[in-house]
Amino acid sequence: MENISLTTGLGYVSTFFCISSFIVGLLCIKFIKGYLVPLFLLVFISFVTDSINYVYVSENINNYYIFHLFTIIEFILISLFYLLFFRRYLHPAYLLVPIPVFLIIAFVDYKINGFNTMDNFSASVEAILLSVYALVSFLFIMRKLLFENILSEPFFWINSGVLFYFSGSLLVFAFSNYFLTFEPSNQYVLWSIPQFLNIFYNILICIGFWKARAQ
Amino acid sequence: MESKSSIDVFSLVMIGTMGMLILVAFIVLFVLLYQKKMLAARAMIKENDNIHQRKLLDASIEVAEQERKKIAANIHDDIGMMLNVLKLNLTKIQRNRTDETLTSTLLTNSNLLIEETIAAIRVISNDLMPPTLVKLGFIKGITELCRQVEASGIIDIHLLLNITTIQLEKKNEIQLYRLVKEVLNNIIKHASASTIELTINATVEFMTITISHDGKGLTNEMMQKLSESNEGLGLKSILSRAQLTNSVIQYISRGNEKAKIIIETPLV
Repeated sequence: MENISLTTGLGYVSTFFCISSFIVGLLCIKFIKGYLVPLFLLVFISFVTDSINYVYVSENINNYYIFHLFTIIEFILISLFYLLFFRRYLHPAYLLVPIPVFLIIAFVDYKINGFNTMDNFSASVEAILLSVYALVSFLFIMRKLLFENILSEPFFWINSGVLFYFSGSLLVFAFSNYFLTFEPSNQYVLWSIPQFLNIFYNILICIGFWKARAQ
Repeated sequence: MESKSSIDVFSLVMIGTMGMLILVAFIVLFVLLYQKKMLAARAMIKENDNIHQRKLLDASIEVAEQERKKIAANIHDDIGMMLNVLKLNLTKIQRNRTDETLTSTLLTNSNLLIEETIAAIRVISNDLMPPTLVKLGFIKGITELCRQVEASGIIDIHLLLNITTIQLEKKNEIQLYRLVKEVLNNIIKHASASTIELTINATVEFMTITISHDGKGLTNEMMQKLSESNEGLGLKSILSRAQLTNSVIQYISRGNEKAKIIIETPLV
């Protein structure tokens, strides 16, 4: 019971920070250009999805399909974020090719798991791919010395957020269905990790949006 | 047993996640520190580059100063002296109009002096701006330079031209001419060479001047070291002129092979 209240509490805080990053995005809307646009869209969709989830949970309706759909949208928008950032340096195909591949994976996941469980397979693949994107981005930034002052760059903060959130949540996503089936009580403790990381991720996105304004 | 296994998986997931997060934190920290270090290194390279540029600028100013001094000395010592003697001759003629023998001698002498003055002025003018280079272009200018070196009898020089004309910007033409002249001058003064071979090749994009000789050669490293020392003004002027014309200059010296200086200049 305690575990459930911890997860629920963190869930509210997580939603609050999601709304916060959306509000900060709105405040800096004039400066949300280029690679920041897909991320602002993601923050908005994330806020809408969280709101719908609360309604579904209170009405006791199955909301797994929202998770399935959100994973796909999230992956496409974050891929676009990287694509728009790297379009000056890399051929877009490098970041466009994984999108249809991921859509196939999500479809296979839906065929195997349906909408009655978590999309643990596609969410894990998404976490791996986005962690790799973030790591490669850091490597690229270091090798090319793209920024004079890295701390003033929105990309640095958002990329750090992506790396923390997706690499930290990877194992939770991968084992979510296992815990859902075999150990539901531990599942709540486990879900507090992505929720906590989501708070951190949204804080870094807020900083990123704010840095765009400062720039 | 099932519960123990579940706890094991739970612990594994928790430990794995913590490990991942610590690793990510280290990566982000590493990116920040590496970026800081690399930017400091880049700033240092830029600073060194600026110092090098300043040195080259100083050298080119000093070379110009020395050339001015040389011209001033030539004008003062040669032309000035000859004009003074000419003036004295004219004064003597004015005072001794009746002495026909003396007047005739002085007039012959003055005539010779005027011829010498004209020749001296021609030398200075040629030094300042070679007329062949100005009128007929770079290739003819270099040909004339080689002829002058050969005529001096100090060293044998062979010119091999694979082109007849070349289109260069006027300002680059004179800088490249002086660069080649300074390289030849250095070989004559310091390399103890007996033969020089000068080859000019060109493609659509580049002109390559190769100067090889049988004397003591320099490598790029030696050239760099010498140009950074307080001496080696000639080398500094070579580098400065190479930079002004966007040329790349290479000094090659390998064992028994002939030493080479390759100057590659973009034509576009």
